Amino acid sequence: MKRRQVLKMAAMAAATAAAGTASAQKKRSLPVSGQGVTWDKAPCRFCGTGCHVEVGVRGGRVVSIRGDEQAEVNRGLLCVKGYHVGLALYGKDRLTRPLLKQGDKHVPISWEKAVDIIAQRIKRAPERFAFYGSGQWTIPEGYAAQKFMKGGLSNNHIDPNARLCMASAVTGFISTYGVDEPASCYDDLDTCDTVIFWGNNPAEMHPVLFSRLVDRRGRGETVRIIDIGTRRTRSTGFADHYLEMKPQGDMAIANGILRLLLEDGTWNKEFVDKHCAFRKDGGKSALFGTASTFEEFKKALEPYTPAHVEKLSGIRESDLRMLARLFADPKQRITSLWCMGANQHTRGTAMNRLIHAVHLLSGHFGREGDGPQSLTGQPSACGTAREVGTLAHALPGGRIVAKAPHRRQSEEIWNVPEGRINPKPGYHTVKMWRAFSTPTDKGGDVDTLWVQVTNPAHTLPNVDELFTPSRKLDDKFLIVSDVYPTASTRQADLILPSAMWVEKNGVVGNSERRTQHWFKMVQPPGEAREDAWQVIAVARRLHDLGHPGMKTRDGGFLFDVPDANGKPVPVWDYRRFHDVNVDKHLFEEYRNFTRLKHKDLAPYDEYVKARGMRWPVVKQADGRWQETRYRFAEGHDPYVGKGKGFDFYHSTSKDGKAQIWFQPYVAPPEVPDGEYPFWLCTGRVLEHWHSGSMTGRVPQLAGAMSGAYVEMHREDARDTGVTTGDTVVVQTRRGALELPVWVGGRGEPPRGTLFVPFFDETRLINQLTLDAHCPISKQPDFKKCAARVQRASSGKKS
Amino acid sequence: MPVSGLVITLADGADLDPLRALQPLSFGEAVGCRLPAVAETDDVLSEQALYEQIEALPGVLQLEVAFHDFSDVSEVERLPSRRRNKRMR
Repeated sequence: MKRRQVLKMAAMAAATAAAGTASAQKKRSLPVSGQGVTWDKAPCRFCGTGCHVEVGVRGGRVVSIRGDEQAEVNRGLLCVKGYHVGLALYGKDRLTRPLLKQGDKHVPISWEKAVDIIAQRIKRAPERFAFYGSGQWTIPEGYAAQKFMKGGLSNNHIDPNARLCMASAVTGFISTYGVDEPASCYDDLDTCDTVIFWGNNPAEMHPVLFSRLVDRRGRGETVRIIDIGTRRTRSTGFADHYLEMKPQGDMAIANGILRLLLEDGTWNKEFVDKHCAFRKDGGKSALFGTASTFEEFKKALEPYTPAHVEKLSGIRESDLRMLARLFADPKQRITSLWCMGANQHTRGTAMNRLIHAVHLLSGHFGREGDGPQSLTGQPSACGTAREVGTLAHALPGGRIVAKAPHRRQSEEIWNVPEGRINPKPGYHTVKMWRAFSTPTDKGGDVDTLWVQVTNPAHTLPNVDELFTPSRKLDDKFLIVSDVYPTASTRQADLILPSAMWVEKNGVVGNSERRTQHWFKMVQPPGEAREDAWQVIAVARRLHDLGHPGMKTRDGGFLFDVPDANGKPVPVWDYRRFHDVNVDKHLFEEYRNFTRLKHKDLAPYDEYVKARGMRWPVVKQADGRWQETRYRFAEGHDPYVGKGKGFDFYHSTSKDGKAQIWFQPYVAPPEVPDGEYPFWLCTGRVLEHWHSGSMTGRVPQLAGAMSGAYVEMHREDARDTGVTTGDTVVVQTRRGALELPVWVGGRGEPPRGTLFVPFFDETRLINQLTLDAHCPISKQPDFKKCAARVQRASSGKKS
Repeated sequence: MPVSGLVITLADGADLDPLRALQPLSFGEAVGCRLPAVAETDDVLSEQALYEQIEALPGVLQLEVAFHDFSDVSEVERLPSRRRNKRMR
C-alpha cells in the first residue's frame, strides 16, 4: 500500500474516531507507531483551553498532529490553531543564536558572552533589574524565574503578561472565595441548560469548548445560549438571545439581576444563609473590603431598577427580567463563561465579583452544569502565573510577599536564609514598564529588563508611552528571549533564542485547574535553548561572580539539581542540562508549596501517565491519585467534610462562607464625546493567537487573516464615506493608525463602535489603547476607549 | 501534499450535495451530526481555501480537525511582506 493511502486511511480513522469520541467519549490508546513515525502526547501550545494533541515525529521533525481522543478536554478534536501547532515550529526565521545589538544591527555572540552580559548587568544593580514573563512560561520555567528573583535577588519586580489578561479574575476569586481559580470545570458545558457569555466569544477564542455546545444541540439536546456583548461575534450566531450592552454595561446588568432576585424573593435563601456572607468596599484592604449585611446589600441595590439598568447598559427591561427569571429557577443549570471582556476592565475585579455574586445569591453554584467558569487565554496563565505566582506581590502556592509566615515558608522550602525575601511587592506590569521607560534621573528605577515568552512591544497598552521611550534611553537594557523575531526582539539590546513547545519538557495548567505534562520530542533549531536553562545559567554566573543571593543557607547553589546519587549536576553547563530531568526537579520542589491553599499536585510521574489532572489531586487509600472536579462541594472536594454541603474553607470571613459583594456601577474612565465620538474595542481573532508571532508563521493562518482591520457599522462607514477595503485613520488621544475597513465582516459592531484585532504588529493598535487599569488587579482596559475615524487622505483601497 | 482528517458538524437536515461536490474531500460515515472527512490538497496554502469553502456552506455549523500530516512539507514558506502602516501622532 502506498504511503499516501496509509496516511489518508489514518486521517479518516482519526476523523471518524473523533466524531464518535466527541459524542460518546470513548477512550483509545495512542496511535501505534509506524511508517517511521513515533507518537507522544502534549497539550497544545496555544490558548488556555488545554487541548491535548498527539505529536508524530519522524527523523527528528514533527510531521503529524492529531487530536488526542483520550483527552477529556478536546476528545480528539482540534481547532484551526491547534491543528497547525506542529507547523508553528518550522517558520524559516526561527531565532537560532544569541544576538547583541551593536549600532543599528544585531550581531551573533556566544551563549557564554550573553549570559555574562546579563549577569554583569544584574550584579551592578540587582534592585534595578526586572523580569517580565507570561502565562506561556511552563510551570517549571516560571518557578525558576520566581525563585531566581524572589529567593535569589530579593527582588520582587517580576510580573507576567497575565496581568493584562487574568489579574482581575484572580482578585475576583480571592476576594469572593478566599482563594484563586474556578471551583467548576469544563464538564459543565456537557450538562448545563443555559450558558451565558459575559462579554465572551468562545466560538472564536475557545472553539473546542464551544463545540461541546454545538455537539449537544446536534444530538437534539436543548442548550440555551445567551450572549451579552458589545458587538455581534461568531458566538452570537449560535445564541438564542443576544443582549447588546453599552461598554461597562455588564456591571449594571449584574446589579439589575441581583436586585430583581431580591425584589421577587427568588434568591436562594437557604444557600445564602448557610454558605454566604456579604461584603462591600471599604476598610483597610481594597481587595478584601469590609463586612456588610444583607440589609445593607439590599439597600445598596435599590437604584438598579430595570429602567435604570436599561439606561446604563442599553439592554431592555424585558431582557433583564428574562435573565433574573433564569437565575430564579432552581432547576435551571446555568454556566457563566467570561474571559477578557470582564477582566480587561477598569472595574475588572468588581465585574468578576458581580458574576460570582449572581451565582451565589441565586444558589447556582457547585452542581454539574451550574456555576461560574472563568476562561483563560494562555496555556499556563493558571498553572504558572497564578499558581506558581509569578506576580509582583505573590509567592508560590497562593502566598504573598507581604505576609511574614508566607515568606518564612518559602525561605524554608528554598533553603535560603531568613529575611532573603523582600516584603515589599514589586512593580506590576504597567508600573514596571513605566519605570523602564522613564529616564533614570527622573525616577525610572528599572534599567535592565528581561522578557521571556511574551511580546510587550506589541501587547502592552499605550505602547508608545510604556515601551517605546525606553529604546531611546542609553542606560536602559532590554533582553528578550523568544523563538521568532517580534516587535520586542527587534528593539531589544540582547536577543536570546528559545526552545519552544515539544523542543523541551514542560508542565502547564489550564483554565479548569488541570495540570498537564509533556516530554521533549525534537531538538530546538541551532543554538536555541530552554528558558529555564537560561535563568539557571545566569543564576550560576551570578553565583560565580559572588552574588550572595545565589547561595542557599548551607552554601549550595540556589538551583542545585542532584543526580540519582544525590550529587549535584552542573546543569548550568548546557552540555549537562539534559543529564537529569530539570523540569521534574523544579516541579517536585514546587509541589511543596501547593498544599497550603489546597491546590495539591500529584508527583511529576503521575502527570506523565495522564492527560492532565485537576487539582486538588489527593492520594487515596488504595494509592491512586484522585483529581477534583468541583471545589468546595461535598462529594467532590476531599477537603469538604461530610454533611457540610459546601465549605469555602479559605473564606475571608473565616466562617466557611463565600462573599457576595455589592459593587456599584462605575462609568468607564474615557467615554466618547464630540471630539472622539466612537467606542474602540480590541481583541483576538480565531486564526491568530495573541500577537501572532507563532500563528503568523503558519501560511494557512496568515493567509486566512493576514492583517488587522477595523470593523465598522454599515451606517458609520457610509457617514465616513468609506466601504470595505477603504483605508481610514483611527485616532485616539494616544495615537493614530491607518487601517482597512471591514463592513459586515465576521463581527458586527453596533453604531458608534469600532473593533480592531491586536495580532498585527504592522498595525499596532496598542499605540491607541488606554493604560487606565483596575485599581485592585492593576489590569488595563483594552476593551473601551474613545476614538474617532476619518477617511485616509490617500483614500486608497488597502 | 498535506493530508487532513476533518470533522464537519452539520445542522439538522443540511444538504450534503454541495459538500460532496468539493473535490479534495472524501467522506466517512456520519456519527450523529458529525461528518468525518479527509482532505488532500496540493499544498498547505490551498487547504485554507478549502476550509473557507466548507465553512461558508449552508448547514455547516463548525469545522474541526482531528489529524494533520505535513511530513512532505519541507519548510513553512516565508510570509508575504506586509506594508508597514504609517504611524501618526
